[in-house]
Amino acid sequence: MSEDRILIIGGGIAGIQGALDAANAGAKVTLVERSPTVGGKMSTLDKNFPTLDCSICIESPKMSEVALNPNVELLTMAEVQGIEGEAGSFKVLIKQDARYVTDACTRCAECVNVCPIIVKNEFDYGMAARKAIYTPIEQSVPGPYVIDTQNCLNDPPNLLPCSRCTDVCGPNAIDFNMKARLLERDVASVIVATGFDLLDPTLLTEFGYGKHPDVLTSMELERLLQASGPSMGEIVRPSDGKHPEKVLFVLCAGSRDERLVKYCSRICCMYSIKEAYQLKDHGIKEVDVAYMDIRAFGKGFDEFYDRTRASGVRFMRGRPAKVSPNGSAIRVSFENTEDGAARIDEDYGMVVLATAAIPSKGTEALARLLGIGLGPDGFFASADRDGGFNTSTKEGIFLAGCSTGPKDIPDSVIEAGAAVAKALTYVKTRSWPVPAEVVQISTEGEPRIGVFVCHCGSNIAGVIDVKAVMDFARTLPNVVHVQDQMYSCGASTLNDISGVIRDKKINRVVVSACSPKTHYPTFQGSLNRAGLNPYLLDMANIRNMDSWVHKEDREGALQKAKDMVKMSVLRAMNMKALQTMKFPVTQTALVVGGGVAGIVAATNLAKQGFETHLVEREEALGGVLNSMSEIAPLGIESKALLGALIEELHESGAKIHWSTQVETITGFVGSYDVHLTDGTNFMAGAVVVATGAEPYVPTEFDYGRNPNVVTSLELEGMIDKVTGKNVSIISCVGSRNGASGCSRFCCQTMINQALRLKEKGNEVNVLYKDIRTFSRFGEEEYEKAGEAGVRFYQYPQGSVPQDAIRMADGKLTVKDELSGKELELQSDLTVLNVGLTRRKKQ
Amino acid sequence: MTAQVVDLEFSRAVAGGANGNIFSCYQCGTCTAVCPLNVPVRSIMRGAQVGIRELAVSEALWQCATCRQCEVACPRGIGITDVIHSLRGISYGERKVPAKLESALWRVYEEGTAWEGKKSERGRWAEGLNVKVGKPAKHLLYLDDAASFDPRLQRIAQSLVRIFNATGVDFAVLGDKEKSSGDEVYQIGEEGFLEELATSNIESFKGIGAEDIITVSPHSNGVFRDVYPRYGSLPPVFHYTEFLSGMLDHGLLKPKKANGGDGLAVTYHDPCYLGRYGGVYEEPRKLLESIPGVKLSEMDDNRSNALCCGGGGGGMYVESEGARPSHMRVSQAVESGAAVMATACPFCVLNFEDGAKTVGSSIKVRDIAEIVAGLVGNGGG
Repeated sequence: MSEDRILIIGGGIAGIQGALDAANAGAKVTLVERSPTVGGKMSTLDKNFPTLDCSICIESPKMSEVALNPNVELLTMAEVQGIEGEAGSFKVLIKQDARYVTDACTRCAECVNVCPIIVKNEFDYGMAARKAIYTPIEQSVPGPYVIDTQNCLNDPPNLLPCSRCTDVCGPNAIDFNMKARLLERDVASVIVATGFDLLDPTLLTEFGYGKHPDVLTSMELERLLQASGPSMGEIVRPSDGKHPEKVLFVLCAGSRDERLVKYCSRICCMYSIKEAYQLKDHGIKEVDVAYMDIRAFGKGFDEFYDRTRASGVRFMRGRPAKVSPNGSAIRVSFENTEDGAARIDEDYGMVVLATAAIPSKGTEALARLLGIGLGPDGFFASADRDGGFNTSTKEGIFLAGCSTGPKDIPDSVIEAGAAVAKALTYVKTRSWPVPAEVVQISTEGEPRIGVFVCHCGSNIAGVIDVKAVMDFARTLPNVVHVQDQMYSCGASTLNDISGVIRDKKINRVVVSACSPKTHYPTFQGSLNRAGLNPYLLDMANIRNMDSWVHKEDREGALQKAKDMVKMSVLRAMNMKALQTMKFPVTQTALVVGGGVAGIVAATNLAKQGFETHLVEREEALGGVLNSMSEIAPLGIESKALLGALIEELHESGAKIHWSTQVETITGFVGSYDVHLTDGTNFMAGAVVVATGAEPYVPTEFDYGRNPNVVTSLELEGMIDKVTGKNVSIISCVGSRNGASGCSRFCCQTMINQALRLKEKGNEVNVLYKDIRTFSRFGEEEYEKAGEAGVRFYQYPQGSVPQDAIRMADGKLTVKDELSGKELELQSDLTVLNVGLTRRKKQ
Repeated sequence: MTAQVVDLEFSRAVAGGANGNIFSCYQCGTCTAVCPLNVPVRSIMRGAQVGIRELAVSEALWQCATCRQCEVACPRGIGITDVIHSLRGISYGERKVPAKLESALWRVYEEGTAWEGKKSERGRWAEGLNVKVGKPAKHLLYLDDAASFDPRLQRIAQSLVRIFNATGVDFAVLGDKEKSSGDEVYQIGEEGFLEELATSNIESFKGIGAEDIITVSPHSNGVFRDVYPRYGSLPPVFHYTEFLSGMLDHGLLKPKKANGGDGLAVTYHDPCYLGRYGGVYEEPRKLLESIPGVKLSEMDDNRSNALCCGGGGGGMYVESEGARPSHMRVSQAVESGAAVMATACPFCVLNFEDGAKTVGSSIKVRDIAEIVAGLVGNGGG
């Protein structure tokens, strides 16, 4: 059946999330990943910005789930080799290489111990070694080890000069006779989520990579930070194994550079800030960051940047010209552009390069194979009318995550969901297979409690003596089994928990690890698969509520962990098996808000066959988009776009309620009773809130009283009628002021407006704090604006525009950071570039 | 602090003279940090961009050796030396030029040479040599000022004569009729006089009717190739290293084994105007490697990253204060383990010999022409 399956290419976070979203929506999914494990870059990161969440802890449950979900067919070590047909009925050919290790593998590592071949581990970015038989990372999914026959002494089918691994393998899991497989799958639609690679740092000749061992890339540092990485989380110099005293982060290493990568790599500012923060936290005395613009555009990013500054990290505006060995130190030559106008030569103990993100290897070949286009930046081209990056140039093939350009994890995950929503419109039949019946374990009689204590790498074990917690747990009533695990949430450890439950007839489970908010459903899966009622689980959150917050007091932390485990055990004793009931979900959706987000959401839902109601308070759909004439940086005409989106909405069959508000919503999950002000009543199974935000209304710069001061949105309506010669645009009015963060879209709008004004002959001044043109093709437009002669003035980082800039008599006075001078600019029209704030009337 | 009014007229004037733009500079400071002469390049660019005259026009403008190291490093790919040139023109218009450079300009005006010397003595370097002067020939050998007058640098020209004679090259020189290429005139920004000079030189070249012009100094090459076409047409111009390398290819030049036997370690310094301006990196190396026994060793900074000697852009005529990149460059040459530091530019030769003395090194500084001349035909070295 071709009508029920989606092919997803790439098993990083975008591919995994896409697979789970699609599978949970009832589609069959074939997830193809070329490496031996899913997880992608995210699985090799230590912590995520700006929350400092443990990266693998967030991703590992999803990795496990993708392997266990009955709707997902996971093919690792596989690549798509051919595609035929058209949207709705593609036929794909997939080649899967042999793993040479079967599912019987228990990950005991006996084989690794005897394997004589040592090579660099690519999953540690070369910072550590692996054998020819290995597991990429601790939490690899699928779990079985893998043999890399490029390096193995055997060259199947030519056997066997070496049989060390097969000799020691207890379960006989190694099978050199395994063959590559060719598979054919009929699919309705395709999602390409092939991620990104990093620029070869040796191309950056001026930055000294390869000339000094302590010049690292950010990914290499990430592995050093990782508790299960090559240095067990210690920050050590590869040259001498010592802690560096002074570290420099170099941003834009290859990005925003004519010679290598013209675009902004978008993620480097934040991960470098995060790494800098972590190094400070690791006790490194001096941590410096050399930057040009800090692009902290996401939710909570500016706050994290401020926090990092406050922790003592020094931010210096300037791009190093040269990084070279100076004895055992690393000499860096740069100009701090905010502090004098001379070269500074400074020695560092470690230098970390934020290397540019580039299209992943094979992107061009895959584009040819699938018959889809590439953009001028080398990433996949998108054909979305709305400036999004979800739709490829071929019908039925969609894009997600970094396959269309660098993106952070939240953005990749959101895009995956959006791509799935589009891909699902081609899926005709949906099904939710029921897992095979498991013989249920009796929950009657005396509780038999199993306690599993997670190390969480060093997140827990680095602070709390896990063995002491285990010894203590053994003394608690009804505890019949106590076990520790490196990562309890790994796919193989989850299986292990199921096995132990069955073998030891455990009827209550305590997992002493992290937050039930994120991981309770994960561990419930282990109970389910063992045949134990999934509500007989309790979690002791000895990580978030203990080891993370009591790092300085190990004794106290241990005591608290014991108390928490004891409470969990006592709670578990009193738990009763609960039975779930099934209620039908009303197959109707309500979308609140008819801006661009609401329109697209309603269209997608209706196209998937759900009855959909879209409610808009105003007379017209479109929201803020109505006050824009052009959308930067792609130059999309707002009116045309809005017209097309509304047409598509009408075609989708969604019911639109204009000039209407929601009066009441009552009811519960899957069954909400909705009353609208237009008198309509209906039941809705799902509600999408897309109520948007509203433009900031300035009080600064005499706005509202001075006719020569307008907002950027007002400029949109009058840009062709501007009469004055000199126009100044002031960025971040009402944004980035402590109370509100970066509004994310305004820099791009500002550059676009500046360029349009310049092209029609105005003198244009832009007064900014940082230029945040991070969107795809945004940096290119910034460069174009510069070439056209727009003049940029930087006001101080720590200030807000109303303090940094004075306005009087058609003139602006600004302390320009780049010249160190107080400058006076002619300004016939002053444009306040305003961001978005939450709606006051909700 | 009273606010300063930005001078947009000034900014536009600089942009106009800078072949395009100064505005796409995003002020990263790479240029300042890479400048071997410690010129505050970014501040100059800033002054030009937004119209802050005193940042852009200052003494520092004349410290620039126009070596283009900043351009190679610039992530925005900006033609920074064009901006410097435009600013120098403005500065010259305001009579703000270092005295020594101004007297060099006067010398060109009066004696046809920026280098110390008399018009009537320009051809003396060739006395006693078998050279056609001012007569038609297949190739024109053009010396420019320094190699014509400086006794140390005359040896480069004489070496080329020796090589050409030993290999049967039909060439002529202009002798006393030769005039300065006007490189310094261009660097100062005296466009009116440059036109006059260039027109007169183009006329003299026609008199020889040569197929091409072979230069001794890459600086003449630069001005011939990049500026002269505005004033008239001239035959193709090659630096002598390009010409000799072509002879190697055709088997017309076969250097003998070097004095000092096997494994003579030679390092090569890329002159800015030959490398970064002319894109000639491999030909000089090929010449050195064609010499039996020579072992070429590279300095850490080579080819497009080579450090400047400080001589370009009028630098030979300006008293340099503080930064002496030639000293550092000699130290790099010594570190490379070389006994001979070869180069292919008269300015480089003088600056490095001076640098070697200052750092107390016994490294020998030679122009490639001098090295090859000793190893061809029957001539002695």
